[in-house]
Amino acid sequence: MITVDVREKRFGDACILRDLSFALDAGETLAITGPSGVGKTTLLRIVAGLDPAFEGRVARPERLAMVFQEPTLLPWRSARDNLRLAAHVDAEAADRALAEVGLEGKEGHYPSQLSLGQQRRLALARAFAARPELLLMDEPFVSLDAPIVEDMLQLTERLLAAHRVATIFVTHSPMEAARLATRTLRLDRPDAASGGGPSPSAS
Amino acid sequence: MAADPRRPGITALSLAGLLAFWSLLAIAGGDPEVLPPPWRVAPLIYAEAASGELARHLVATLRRVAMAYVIAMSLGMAIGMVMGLSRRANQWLDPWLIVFLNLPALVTIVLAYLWIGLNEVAAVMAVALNKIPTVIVTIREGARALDPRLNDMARVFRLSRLEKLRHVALPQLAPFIASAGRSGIALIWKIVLVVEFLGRSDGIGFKIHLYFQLFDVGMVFAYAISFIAVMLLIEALVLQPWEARASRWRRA
Repeated sequence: MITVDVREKRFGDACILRDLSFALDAGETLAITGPSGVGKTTLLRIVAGLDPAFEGRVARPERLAMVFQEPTLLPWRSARDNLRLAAHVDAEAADRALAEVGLEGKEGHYPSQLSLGQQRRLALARAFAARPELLLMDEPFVSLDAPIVEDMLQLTERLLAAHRVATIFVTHSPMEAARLATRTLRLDRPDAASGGGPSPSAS
Repeated sequence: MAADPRRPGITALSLAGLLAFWSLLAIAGGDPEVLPPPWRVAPLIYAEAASGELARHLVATLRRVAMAYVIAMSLGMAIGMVMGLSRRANQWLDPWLIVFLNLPALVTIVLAYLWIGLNEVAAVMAVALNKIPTVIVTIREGARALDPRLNDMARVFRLSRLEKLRHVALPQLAPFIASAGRSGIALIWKIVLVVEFLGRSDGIGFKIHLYFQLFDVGMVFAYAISFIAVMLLIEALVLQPWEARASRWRRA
């Protein structure tokens, strides 16, 4: 069980997030949607523990994994070693995880030798291979062509079904939210007139 | 470095040109006491090598170069990392760094000899102290350029300190370390000669001091050229291959 309770998050004078709380069980997938600049990535970083400068509290499990907006791979390590190092698995398990996302034969390739789609699949494989209790994904399919997005969506659906994990993912796309999520949290721009911050609305 | 098949040939020709230029100057000068031609220096090198003198002094100098190099690189890297990663540490240490950067090598050497004594420790310390600040500057640049996104990734996936250092930080720092290492070797072996010149009784610098007092330009040339050759060999056989290996992923 993951509980997130953010009372306030500011960058300088600007209040980015206010009074936001939700809980998540294993096997649930929460989509966070909303316009650009509303604080979706900030919220994800708070949940991940990458940004401790906020008021509130987050109870998160030990084992996390994250798929970042960019693949965020180690350019100087092969695909297999990227997986091995981050997920702490042996070479055999790494190769299995690579095969799971259709990267068999690419084990020894450096990230620069892979296409963006392949790099994103590698980032996805890395996240699932870490066997996380909480998986965070920050627009994992952004800047991919439509057919590759469809590919990645199917792949992610399959992986989510196979690994029972609590997942939070940020997306712009209502279609992605509908396909993957069991719940959606929509962040809105702070409304000056009502004096409120982003208002969460769960559906 | 991509291997250019013509490169060795060009290098050889260029070196031959340098030899020819030297020969011409020597012939034009007409006084082998002032500028001996290559064919008078070569037998001197051979004689010194055959008697074992050359090797003895070369080894003494190389040992000092190696010790000063290791000390300067490890201290410089550690301090440079700290200054690059912590703004506070940088604010405190930066004025010191500027002072040491601007301290003339000769001053460090003389003070080291005066304070520590005319011994090996003083010699090596003096050389290392001259090099540490420039290593710090280079490594600090590298530490400031570390990719915060990779750092986030390492934190989320809970890489250990050692794993972060080895797989995340050091590969990013490698070009900076290589650059500090290369300029380090070049600077250190030059300062080692000065240190030996001023206060040691063996080493290439000592021999050059000796033949300077005897006004024997030929022997000064013989020792200087042998040492330059050895340092260039070390650069070509050790430093360049290491650099190529560390940056292999860039060319993949």
